[in-house]
Amino acid sequence: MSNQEKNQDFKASIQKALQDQVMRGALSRFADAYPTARKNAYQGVDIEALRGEIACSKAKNGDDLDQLIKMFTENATKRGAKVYFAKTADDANRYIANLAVDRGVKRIVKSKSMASEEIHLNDHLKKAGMIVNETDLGEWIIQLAGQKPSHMVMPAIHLSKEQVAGYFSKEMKSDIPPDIPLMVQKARVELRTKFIEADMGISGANMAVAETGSIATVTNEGNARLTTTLPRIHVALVGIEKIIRNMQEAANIIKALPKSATGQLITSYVTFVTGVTPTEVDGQVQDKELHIVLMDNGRSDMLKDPEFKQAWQCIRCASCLNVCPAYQMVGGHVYGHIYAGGIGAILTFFFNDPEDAEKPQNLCLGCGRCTEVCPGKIPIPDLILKMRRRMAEKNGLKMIPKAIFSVVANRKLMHSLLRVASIGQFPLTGGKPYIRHLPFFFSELTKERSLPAVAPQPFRDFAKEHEKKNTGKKKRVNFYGGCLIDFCYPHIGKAVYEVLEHAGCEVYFPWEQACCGAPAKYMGDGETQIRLAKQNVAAMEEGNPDYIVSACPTCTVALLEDIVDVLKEEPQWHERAKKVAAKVRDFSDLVAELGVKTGKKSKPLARKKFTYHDSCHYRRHLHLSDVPRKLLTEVAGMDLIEMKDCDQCCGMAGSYLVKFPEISAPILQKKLDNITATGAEMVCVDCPGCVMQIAGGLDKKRSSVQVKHTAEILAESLRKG
Amino acid sequence: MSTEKLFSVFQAKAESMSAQVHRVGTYAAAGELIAAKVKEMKAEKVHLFPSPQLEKTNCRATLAGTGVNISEKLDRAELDVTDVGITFVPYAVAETGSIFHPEENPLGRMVTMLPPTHIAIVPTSKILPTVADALVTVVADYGKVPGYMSFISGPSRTADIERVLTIGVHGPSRLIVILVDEGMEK
Repeated sequence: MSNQEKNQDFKASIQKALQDQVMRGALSRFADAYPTARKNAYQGVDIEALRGEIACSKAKNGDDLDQLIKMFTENATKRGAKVYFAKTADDANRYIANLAVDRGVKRIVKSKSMASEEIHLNDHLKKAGMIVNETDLGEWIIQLAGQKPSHMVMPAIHLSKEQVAGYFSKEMKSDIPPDIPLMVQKARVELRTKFIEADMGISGANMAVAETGSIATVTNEGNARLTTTLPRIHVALVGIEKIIRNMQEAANIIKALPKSATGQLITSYVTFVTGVTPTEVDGQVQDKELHIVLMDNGRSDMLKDPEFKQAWQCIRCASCLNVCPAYQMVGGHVYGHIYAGGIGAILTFFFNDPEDAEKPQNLCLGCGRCTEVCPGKIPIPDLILKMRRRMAEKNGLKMIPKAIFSVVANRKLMHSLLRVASIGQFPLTGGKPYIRHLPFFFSELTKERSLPAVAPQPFRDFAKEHEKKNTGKKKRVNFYGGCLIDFCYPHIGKAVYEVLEHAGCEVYFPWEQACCGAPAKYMGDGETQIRLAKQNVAAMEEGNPDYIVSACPTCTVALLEDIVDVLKEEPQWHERAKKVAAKVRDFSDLVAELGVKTGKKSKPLARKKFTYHDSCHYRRHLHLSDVPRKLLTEVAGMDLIEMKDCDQCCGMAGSYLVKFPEISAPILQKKLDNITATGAEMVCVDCPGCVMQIAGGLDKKRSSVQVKHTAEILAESLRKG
Repeated sequence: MSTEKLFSVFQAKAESMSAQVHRVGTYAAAGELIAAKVKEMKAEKVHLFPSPQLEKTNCRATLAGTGVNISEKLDRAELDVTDVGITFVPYAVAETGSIFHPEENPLGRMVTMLPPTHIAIVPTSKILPTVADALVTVVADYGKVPGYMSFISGPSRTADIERVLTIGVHGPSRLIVILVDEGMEK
């Protein structure tokens, strides 16, 4: 398939998912309930300490993997288990199928195992002549439907009860009504016979404990207990990342997994199987056969890869999916293989085929909500970017022609094009400061939101003029504008100047500053990122400033972290970058530190009701959520009404709205609904990108709610009446 | 934590997961309660997994009084159609409201898995604070990790269809925990 065909395929699968109202409803209901359920489940638990312990021990387990595999194998063998190490999916499939044939197995029951989905074990067993039945209700439904799971923990979350009733009616050859308790009872009866008759049970494992040779399953339905108890042969298929050292680590995972997965205090059953135990065969007690298949299938490659080894810390709770704004919109089936979400793309890259991960990894907004909840503290968006860079290095940039980035990276060309655009766009904006319709292929971008018009005078022109009255006697701030403030929102830049001057600074605009490099980073264009980093380091050194200030969190993070990171191979540049980064401050943060006072009796904005939107980088990279709230309520005297999911991404996410306008739009819609529900007359943010997205959405809805950058509010409050 | 505190945490957590929790003074009282419960649910067949603690409840006699059919046969087909499984379970865990059941005997396990109701007799003195404590205690008490052990928390459940919580899929739809104070240090 050509790349263009693959793109079309992928886009079509997204469209299909977006139109699936059943799935969107189910995902949205779960997403709404999950944060509270999770919070309640973790009540009384020091969750940060627990996450720290899990992340640390899982990382250590990865380091000690060879030793732990050996220890597990010895201890399980001592207890009578047969342990087989499967390097590949084929090895695992072959071993299990051969075993079944050799032991004269006819009927197999399976409890839930993502590893078996990963290697299409059922197909292999069917080919070998076995009758295989999934027994986890969700997995069984998926099997009857001939589909793939759409969620690691809730495989059939995308199906309605009516659809399930259809599959059940066909399987049971009778008319089953879409009554959930009744269908569950039918499934119990139908599958009970299969349990009783089965000669082999295949389970997965949530943990394999090296010190004791035990495997453990964490389940709700009770099917894993039947699968591991009734049939005379038990095969456990275990990914080697499930190996942990001891029972203390097991206790920690038991503490986290159900709470993070479904917001349950604990699942109905947590079961440990250690070696061979007896069962009943034809009324007689007989020892079971226990085979444990430890499967690698790309896992050790992931572990040995220094850029990706953190993915080893995953305990497969899927909480990252539960909070992912993109997953909530499209569900699991668009992610290419078996594993869904951001973590799924990474796992697919290593376990299955890098090609399968190529399109789905783009679905990551980079908002970082997943990392905030991950029990293994995996920086999923960072890993996605590393994967994206690797793919771009190998295949070139595909989603957007590289030509566009060459323009962005070329300051003079970009700036002159934008100037031309500012003149050429009036037919589009109708003289208003928004573009409501764009011609041709850009039309998708303005369907749900208006885009800001390019300002007639870029901020840099104002800044140069303004700079002339600086005395050089006060604290020097070098202002990093960023493209949105420079070209679309110069008034935010002007507000920044007013406030910083009020706080006793003089502000300069280093002329040679270029794009912060974030768009290149998110596209996986490492080369451009390095070029821009050098240009910005050199520009921001100008005049040896006391502070370097940005009012865009994405730019701030780029100047604080990325320039240092991408220049680490070049010692001289690295040193310069570190010095620059050490002076970089977010606007609101610096204002809070320097302090500003209105000195007026009546504040112009006092008692105005506002709600605050936490921009992703602002909250999760800079950890500054409280700072602007304090400034806006204390300095401006406004009243804060918090919105639902104030920290959920607005759907802007850099170039995301260019790549996936169809996903970005419903994410924005949710944000707008949450804003409107507060009844506030204003929404404040600290990111011009969010200003653009949210203001555009509100404009399209002809809403009267205003969007303001914190700088604008502060400037207005400090202005002499 | 005192036994009373452990009990109240256990009870709250277990009930939040739809387990029925009862507390009695003696094994004899537990035997009466078992019979009352079996009668109340109009069960026709019960399955026992014999143990010294269960004998102390004298439940064979109390159950016989209800006219219910009692079996202790290891037969999966028979276990599949029985109404109630009755076992002694040696531990409970307060933090999760679980009972903790190490059991290698197949009958001992199957009576907790196959019938729609599971009645568990648990010593009040063996409510342990945490899952981690239970995993340490069991090894100390048994001298090794038992071949099969389960934390059981409430009845079997699923939310696999439309996220609607439904009780009783493959395991019991009812879990009755009877805590017995007898033998507790005052």
